[in-house]
Amino acid sequence: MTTMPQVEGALLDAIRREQQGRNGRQRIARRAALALVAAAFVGSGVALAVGVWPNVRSAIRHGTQPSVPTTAVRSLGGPAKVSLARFRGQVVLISFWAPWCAPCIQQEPELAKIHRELRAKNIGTVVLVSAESSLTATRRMVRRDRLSVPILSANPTEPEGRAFFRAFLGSPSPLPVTFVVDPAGRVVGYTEGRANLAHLRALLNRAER
Amino acid sequence: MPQNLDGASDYELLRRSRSGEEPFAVFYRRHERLVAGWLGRQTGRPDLAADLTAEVFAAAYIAAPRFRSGPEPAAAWLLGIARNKLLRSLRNERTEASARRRLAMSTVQIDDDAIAAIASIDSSELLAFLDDLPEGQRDAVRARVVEDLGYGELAKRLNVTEQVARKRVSRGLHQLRQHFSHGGASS
Repeated sequence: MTTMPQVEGALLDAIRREQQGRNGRQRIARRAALALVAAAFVGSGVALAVGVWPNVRSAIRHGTQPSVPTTAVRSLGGPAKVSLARFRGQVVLISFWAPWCAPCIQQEPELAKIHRELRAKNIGTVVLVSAESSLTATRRMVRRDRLSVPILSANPTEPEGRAFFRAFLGSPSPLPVTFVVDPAGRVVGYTEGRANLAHLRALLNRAER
Repeated sequence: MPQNLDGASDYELLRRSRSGEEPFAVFYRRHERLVAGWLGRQTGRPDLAADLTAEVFAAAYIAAPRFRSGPEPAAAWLLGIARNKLLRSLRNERTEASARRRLAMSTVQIDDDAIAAIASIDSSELLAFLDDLPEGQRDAVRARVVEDLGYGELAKRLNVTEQVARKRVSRGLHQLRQHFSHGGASS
């Protein structure tokens, strides 16, 4: 029961219209971003193989547990270039992410919680991989959301960024996509879209064993 | 799909506010009387309080993605927005409407019943959200959050060091957060 139903009604009307408009704008922005990433990959000519499969995602779909790609990419806040081999011996949750990706941002608190749990048990870490071409935009987002996990950049305008993205995902892909790697460096599984927490935790448990 | 959000924490409601109108509707209903009552008491004008309440919640919706689950409860965060909107209105001699313009929110005619309801919100209800705190923390949080007193002034008023004043506010806010996150907010 509200004191001012008129205010509540007008506010919720405005919110509904704003959300409808924003959803439309996000769809357009997402398509434009995917088109850019696609164009970058077509031009790159980078071919990386994960065993007999062209990329990690494809290998997992075919029931294998491929080794994590070791292409070194730019790191934010750490050494200039970092390879995932650096995390060998740990459980690693790798989430491909971008500042313009709403579901990526929505799942940040959940990933931060998992990161804290892994750090508390001293067994692993969460790593965010930005697919954004502007490092400034990525840094702004990291500051705004106070992200305290390691951040790597799979910048699609740089050859190693494209190679890294392609080694995991192959073709351009809607974000987020989240992979779980065991201490031996094998990718045990992945989720697409906003992570299903139960599935993610099952993958983490499998990686810990 | 209808969702039962009545037991959700303020942080959860604000976090989900961009995914549909219902989470923010629950948040609005939970805190409307606090904001309208506080503005009514500050301005002495229920009609202006109603207008500014709409502006405060429009601004809160816009700022919702930036709200972080920390020591400050959402009620205190809302009062901070209300204080800024009120000060800006007084400074510009015009009721603040920037957030409502940004949301393209239509002008609302407030009826006499609503004005009377705002006028009837008394101080004890308004600050009921502080009742659970021990006296020292209650005075500290009220002076800091509701009256916007600086820590230096607050320390003088409470006759303690600034460090102790900060600690009391911090503990009080922490307890309030627990209170609100367990569905203790007025509805």
